[in-house]
Amino acid sequence: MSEPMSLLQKKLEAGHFVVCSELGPPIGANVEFIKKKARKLVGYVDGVNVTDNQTAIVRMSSIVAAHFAREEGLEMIIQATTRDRNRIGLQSDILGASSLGLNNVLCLTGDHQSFGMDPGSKNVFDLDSVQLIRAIHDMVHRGVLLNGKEMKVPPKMFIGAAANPFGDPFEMQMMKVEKKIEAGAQFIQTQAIYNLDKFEFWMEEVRKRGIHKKVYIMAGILPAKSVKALRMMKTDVAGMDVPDSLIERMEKCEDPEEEGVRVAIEIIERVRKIEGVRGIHLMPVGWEKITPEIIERAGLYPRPEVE
Amino acid sequence: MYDVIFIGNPVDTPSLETMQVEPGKITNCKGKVGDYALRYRENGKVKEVKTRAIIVNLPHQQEESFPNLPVFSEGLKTDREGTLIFIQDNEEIAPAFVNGVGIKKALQAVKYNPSRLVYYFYRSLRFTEGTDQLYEEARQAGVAFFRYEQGKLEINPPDKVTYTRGGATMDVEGKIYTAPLLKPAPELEKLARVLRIIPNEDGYLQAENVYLAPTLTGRRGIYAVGGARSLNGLSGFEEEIKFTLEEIETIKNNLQPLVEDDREVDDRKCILCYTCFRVCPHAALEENKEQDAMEVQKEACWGCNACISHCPAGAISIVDEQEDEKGSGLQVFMCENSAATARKKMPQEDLEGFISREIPCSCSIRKEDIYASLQDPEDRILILGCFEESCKHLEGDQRGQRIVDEVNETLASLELGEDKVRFERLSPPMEQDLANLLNRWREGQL
Amino acid sequence: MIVGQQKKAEEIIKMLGEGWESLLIVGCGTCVTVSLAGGEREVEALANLLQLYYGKKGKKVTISTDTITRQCDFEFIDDIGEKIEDHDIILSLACGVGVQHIVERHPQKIVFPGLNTSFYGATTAVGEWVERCIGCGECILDRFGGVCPVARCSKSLLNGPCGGSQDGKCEVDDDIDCGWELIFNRMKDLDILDKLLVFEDPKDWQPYRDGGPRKLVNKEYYDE
Repeated sequence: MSEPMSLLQKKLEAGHFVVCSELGPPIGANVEFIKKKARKLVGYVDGVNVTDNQTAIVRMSSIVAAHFAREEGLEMIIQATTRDRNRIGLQSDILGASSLGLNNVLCLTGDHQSFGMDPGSKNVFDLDSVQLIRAIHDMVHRGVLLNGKEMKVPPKMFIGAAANPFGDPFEMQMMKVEKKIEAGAQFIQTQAIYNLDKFEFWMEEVRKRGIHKKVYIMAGILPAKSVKALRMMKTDVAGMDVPDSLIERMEKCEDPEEEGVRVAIEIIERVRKIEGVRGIHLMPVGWEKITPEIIERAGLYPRPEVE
Repeated sequence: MYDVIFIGNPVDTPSLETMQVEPGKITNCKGKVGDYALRYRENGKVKEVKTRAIIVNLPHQQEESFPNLPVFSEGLKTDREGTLIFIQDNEEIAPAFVNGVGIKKALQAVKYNPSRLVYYFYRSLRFTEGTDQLYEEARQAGVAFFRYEQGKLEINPPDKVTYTRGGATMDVEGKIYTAPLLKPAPELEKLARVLRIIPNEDGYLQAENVYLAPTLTGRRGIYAVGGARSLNGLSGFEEEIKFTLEEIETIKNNLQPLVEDDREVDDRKCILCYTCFRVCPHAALEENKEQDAMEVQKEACWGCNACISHCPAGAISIVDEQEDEKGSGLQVFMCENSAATARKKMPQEDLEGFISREIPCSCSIRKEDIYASLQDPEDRILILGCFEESCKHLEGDQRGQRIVDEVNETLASLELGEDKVRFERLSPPMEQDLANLLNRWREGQL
Repeated sequence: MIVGQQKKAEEIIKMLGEGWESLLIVGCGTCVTVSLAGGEREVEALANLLQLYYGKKGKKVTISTDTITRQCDFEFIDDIGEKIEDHDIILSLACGVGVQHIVERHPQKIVFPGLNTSFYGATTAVGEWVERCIGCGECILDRFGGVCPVARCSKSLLNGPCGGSQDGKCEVDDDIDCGWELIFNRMKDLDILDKLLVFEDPKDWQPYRDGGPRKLVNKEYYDE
């Protein structure tokens, strides 16, 4: 086993149940915005993803925003989608990120540009996420670029992939997860979970295939602020599974924000008990300030330290 | 050469040469009325037979409307004791033959053993000539009929029902039979494709169309009877067969084209794109391999001109057709199925001031002709199609409407007027409707 | 075949602009005739419509029409070569290939495109065409059960679906089938799913447009 590439990897290898969160970069060049958000998370999380032009909307670059957040003392996970850059740009970014001390990467295909504000743009998709994982794996562990060129100083990256336990057909989605691991993925962050029964079923299949022994799986948690937000996720977000019973529950409650926190905590408590789940990935889209509260109330504070 | 090939169940026809082929084995059907070449697979080989006509006769596919309860047609032993309960829970009006089967069984049971209690619960019944007598007979023999509102009959399998009407409730216990749910036989979908028949909304082979006699399919010489015909097929099965066999006798003895003018494909212009083949509602076009062009088979042609108006290459025309002079002023194009018929009944003075022309179907208007007829600022065009669901060329009226919509959109975008072209449908009584419509249009009030 | 769509009349009129007296509309009798965009019928309809438009504007113009078998072969263009020269401007209702082919034969003429060239398509129903191939230059259908991931997945993914498809539909539009689900189902039916587990290398895009404008020569006719 090679030495860990990042602090996040070290914590996982040490057996800790990790907590990751997420930061959306600004639409603009506001550095202070990033730093302010980052400071609020220090001490509460083991890693923070920075999205890469999420939903195909132009924002500050994931790597640059992650760099500023890292300066505040956070362990960062950059995201790289294959939508906007070809193999030349993607590999170049990995070299740059590693040199900035950003040593975790989540490899994604990326939402189609038709979701964002530039539906008329041309997409790239020169690589798919599996090929990107393999490319980064070869850069890190074999010291070669896709074109075969050797590097004297290869980048250091802990490589992650996404998985959707609710995608169908089930077998096809599973096949893709296995391909990602085969290509070199070391951790997996899942799509947001609301339908726990389905997630448990998925994890069962994961264990049957021994996937949980090959990668660290972090369960996606998306705290919902309102019924409206939940409904939107059900209808507008690709690949989401939001049970009607949950929408009903949010409708009936008196304080939707408090209920949203409670739901998130309940889900966290349940996924922690599932064999093979090695952490959570909080994605409080548009509600980032709630992260510390959820982590405290879920009994996940303080976070462990590793050497 | 057979007179008829039965696809599915044969029917006794002493005067005709017949043959039967299983529906699942048919692979291809070429040719036209009076001369079809039907191919089917048998013992791993493809065989071809010639026939003048084809009758598709397949039963409906029946499904349980309630799980684990027998349907009407399942073995009822009339010589047994005990209460019988028939339930007909059809959501819409049930095909008449469904209650025909149910009531017949109820009647049999009560006739065999008059002391037996027989209940017949239904949401709706539908009668044809035969079944209303049956209903009367069953009532007189002692079958108790109860109509119920949806949700007011509680069924507790295997043998209990609770009936509620007004404030009263009645519990009944006995052997339950339920009306089946009907679906087209599974083979029909592929069969429609192979036989080139456009199925109706429910997946049956008869078009829901007031102009088509019951068993016609839109393709001349191919008939659908019984459960292949429509959801209502099997009601009056004997009449269906009688009508169909008469048609076939005519085909055999005196096959005449349906329309006077021949449609002709110019083999120099035809690009074999197969558009006409696909659009012809009556499957009258075939490829002529020697000519390298499509060909209209005149006995099969119903004269709708859909091929002419669809042909991308402008290769199809009516033989010896007099080129109409380019119209001007107020021009009315009338579908000959409705508007043109109505026109003949109207006082002729109401028609003054218009140039009016009959067209076989409103789908046969063409964009280029519309633009050509609008060159004078005073020019206006009215296109009159059938009333809804009565186009005998299978939704040709809808295409007519769409052509006009597109023309108007384009004219509007260029500020060339928004009301120069109108598409209207007539509704009965048509001559009155037509007179009103024409008057309003003349006054610019449409 | 090539599927095209006629430009809106408004756009065509704006494009043609002012300063001309005679216009020749040239149709193409093959692909775009079938896709109801640039055949004889469309040429006539457009000519009549433009006549109507310029007539109303009080502009005196001559509009002529002709439809040739193919605009992608010079021989057919040459059949109407004089006619082309005799008109001030030309509007071609062929695909982009045809438009440029007239330009090459008549370098002094201004030739306008009347169509948007859409894609290589197959006819699925009357008046309906679908894209099945993007002409990537290196066919990989053998490895995907005969369903092309490049043309039929919105993201051209080669190693499996993205997470966005639902109920067999693409995240881009409910009207689009998820290409990967089509691939998966077909390979499952054929019992060759194991083929899908093989890692698919990044595609070489040189045979596509990324190697620059393409040219193909047949060895029988040219030395290498």
